[in-house]
Amino acid sequence: MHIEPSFRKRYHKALSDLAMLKAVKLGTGRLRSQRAKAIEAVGTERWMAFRDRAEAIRLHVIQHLDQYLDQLVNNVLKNGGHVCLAKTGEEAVKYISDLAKKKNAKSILKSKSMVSEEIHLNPALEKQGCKVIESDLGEWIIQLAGETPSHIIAPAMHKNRFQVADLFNAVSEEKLTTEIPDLCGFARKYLREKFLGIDIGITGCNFALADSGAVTVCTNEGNARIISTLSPTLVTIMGMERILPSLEELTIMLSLLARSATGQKLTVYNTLFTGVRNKDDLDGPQEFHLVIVDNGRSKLLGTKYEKVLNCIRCGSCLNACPVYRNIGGHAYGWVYPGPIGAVLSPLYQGMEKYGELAYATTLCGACTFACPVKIPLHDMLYALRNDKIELEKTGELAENIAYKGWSATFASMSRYRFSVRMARRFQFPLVKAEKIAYGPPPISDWLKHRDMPALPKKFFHEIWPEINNDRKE
Amino acid sequence: MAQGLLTGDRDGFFSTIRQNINTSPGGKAKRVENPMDGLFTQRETTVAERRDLRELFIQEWTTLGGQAFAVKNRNELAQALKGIIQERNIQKAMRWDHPELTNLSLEEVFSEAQASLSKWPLDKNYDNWIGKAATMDAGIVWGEIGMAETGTIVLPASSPGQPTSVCVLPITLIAIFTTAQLVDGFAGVIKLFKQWYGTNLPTTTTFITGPSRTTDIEMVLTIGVHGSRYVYALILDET
Amino acid sequence: MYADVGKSVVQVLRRNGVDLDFPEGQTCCGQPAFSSGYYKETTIVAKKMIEVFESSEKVVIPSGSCAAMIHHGYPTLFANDPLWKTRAEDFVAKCYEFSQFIVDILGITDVGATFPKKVTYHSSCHMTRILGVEEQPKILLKNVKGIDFIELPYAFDCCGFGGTFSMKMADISAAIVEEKVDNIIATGAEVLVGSDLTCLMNIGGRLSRRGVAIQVMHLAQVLDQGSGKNAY
Repeated sequence: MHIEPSFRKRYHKALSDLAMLKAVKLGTGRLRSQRAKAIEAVGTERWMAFRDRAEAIRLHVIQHLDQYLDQLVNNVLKNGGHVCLAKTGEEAVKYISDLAKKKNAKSILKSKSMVSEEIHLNPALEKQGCKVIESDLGEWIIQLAGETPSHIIAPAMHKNRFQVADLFNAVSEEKLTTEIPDLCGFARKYLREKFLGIDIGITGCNFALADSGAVTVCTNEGNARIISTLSPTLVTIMGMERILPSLEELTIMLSLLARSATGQKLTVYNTLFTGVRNKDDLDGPQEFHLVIVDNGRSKLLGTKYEKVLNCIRCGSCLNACPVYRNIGGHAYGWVYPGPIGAVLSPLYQGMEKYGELAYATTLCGACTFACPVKIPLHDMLYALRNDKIELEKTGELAENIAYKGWSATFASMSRYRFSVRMARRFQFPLVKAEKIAYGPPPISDWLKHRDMPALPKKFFHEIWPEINNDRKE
Repeated sequence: MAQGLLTGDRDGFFSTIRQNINTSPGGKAKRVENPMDGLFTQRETTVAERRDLRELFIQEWTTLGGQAFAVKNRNELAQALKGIIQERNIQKAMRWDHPELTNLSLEEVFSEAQASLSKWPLDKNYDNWIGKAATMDAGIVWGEIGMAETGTIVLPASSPGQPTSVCVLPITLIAIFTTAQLVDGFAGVIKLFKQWYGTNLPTTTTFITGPSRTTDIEMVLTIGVHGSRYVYALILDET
Repeated sequence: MYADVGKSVVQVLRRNGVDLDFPEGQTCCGQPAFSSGYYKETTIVAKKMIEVFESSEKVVIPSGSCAAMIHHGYPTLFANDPLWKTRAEDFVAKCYEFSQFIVDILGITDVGATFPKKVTYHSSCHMTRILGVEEQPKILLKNVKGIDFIELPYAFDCCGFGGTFSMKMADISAAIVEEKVDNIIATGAEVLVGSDLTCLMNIGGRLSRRGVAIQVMHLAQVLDQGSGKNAY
């Protein structure tokens, strides 16, 4: 799928897609208010305590990642599972493609994995003749549409039922109505048939537990556990930072995850599996492969950005963000949208391609406050901007000069006051009824949608002597 | 169990991580000892308190779209079960081969209701039985632990007779347990898991909190997309 | 820049027993440059501000975002500067946002103002999330005689200003301020009050462009109402 390289063009397209924006406002509004209710039920103090604990747990794990991954790998191998340590996305894709070839796999069912989107797994498997089907309803919808997910937990948030009916009718033998229960009923029937014919199942990983070698997957639909039970060969793709020491830490994360994402106490299904079936079991995988993916994560360790690896992919920063709510997910241009995406995309894919996202924010801080593991997202956006200017020297020349001039002027009282008098003189032709409605760039951008007040006849420093004298009398 | 195989450059993979970690800003964060302290209710409950937990569980379960019955004895259990068989028009069901379920003589209840109940067998081959489970109208499991705060049933598939297929595939799920299985929440689960398994977890453990659901289309709630659409909890008085 | 607001700040504080001064050398807290990533340039101006206020006991700031910039940004700017680090810390410790100063330091929740109008309040992001000052402005407003205070839905949502964002990505900024303006109109308020002039300029600018007759006032101006100019 071709992604328009200019962020400006992408968000202009988004701003004119009114149907999409309506759906995104509805979706994020609903998720936000449900989350708020859930937090109220827990109690603000207890919620803050949970967040503090979760932040400490995740940060400790990230800063000792080698230790926990090592323990995990040993336990998975001991349990009879295979491990692939993939430094790059290509290595992971090669491993899984080779496996599919070896197993002569025709039908591959997937549950949600954002990492698999990062590494472009599906196209590679399809190229060698495998049929890959997404089983999460939202992911299946966008797969049929040939699109990428627009929200971390509600991938088809931007679509309405009429669009979904069109997509389903293209694969359905009978004509479907546009009623949501009918559409869901069709999805159940169609995908159930596919589940029963599965050759290889691929899941993502919410949390891997180092001390037992178990993988935790959380869904509301139950698709992941169908896959983990029915697949003769099961593959789990894991971003290498998605790990916890033990079951105890998992309870903290699970208590935060669903509430942050949708306002539920827990997702309907939380499944822990160690992979391979026991000797006498009659269901469960005969082979299990855990693919642990680096793909740029190790580069962040030990830097001022390492805390971004705390992320548990709940999506609450998206719902909190005024920019996300008004442009939707596709405008961000990569796998992860919203505030987390604005930080990850430049870090993983480069400043040149995605550096602009660091400016697609009002720095309001809502993301940081929503984050259950307290990632200082808005501070990271400040830092990315500073990086862009200091290190990569890609700041605009005009802006560079302007700020140097600003600092020279504003560092001196006399220069400042002179500039105020000059500005007042220059605004004269633009002012009508004490308002400015038209003007040259850069204020023309402001004036596109808003009026501006005229500079007052007297600034405060000019009336201060008068006020001060009043008092002295 | 035979050891699995590792692919990839283990040394290279880990040395990159180790190198980078050593420059963590502000030093390294300590391990959080006792991560659950102060956040969850941790207590020993009395029989009476567990009856209260049952009410809380039923409240949660019902709000999520499930149905739950508090039953005093085997007779009431049989009545409730017959009601479900009729309501869901169940003709064939499959149950876990679990000693607690065996003790309840559920086969009699089913035959009285003119329906059939089979047990997940241990001596047939793989292909048939997953497919068989998929054709069942209902799956019956024993709820090893019930979490009252969240309305969650914990199902460790910890023996060959407790396969995940039985609770995953049929459209109706029936979970039977007693008040003795009820805990407040996660703290109770962890305590029992430490006792039963340590770090040797079962092949699969599922936490089920209500019927399968999705809001992927226009944020409208639909029940029963892939997992069970109808979920029943029958909670017996403990003896 | 908004001289009237400054005048109200002075009058309200004097009326409540505060002897204050306006050190003449002050210019700007440096937020626009800091947010755009120009840390070096910001530091030049920040040092000037620290110098200018060195002999003041306490500093009252009628702008949530400026106060937040000083509290949050200045430690970052001077963290690795052994000469200026302590001077910056001392400065930060004596800076207060206007409503924070009145409620927390003076201990006053009723300044004796009268303003019989329907009023709603926008909570600016930097003041609430970064400075942690949430309730103080609302407490002061609710105690104004005759006021009809209406809670603004999603009061804590950003107004869309974001500094240069409002010009660099004007169309997104406009979409965000539109949401805010719709929420304000829906309250039926006659006056919108805020503690941050940048937010008020942004929201006010959109209200004006849409021709909506809602007055926009800074908290200090409301608190200055009805108490008499010669009361001190």
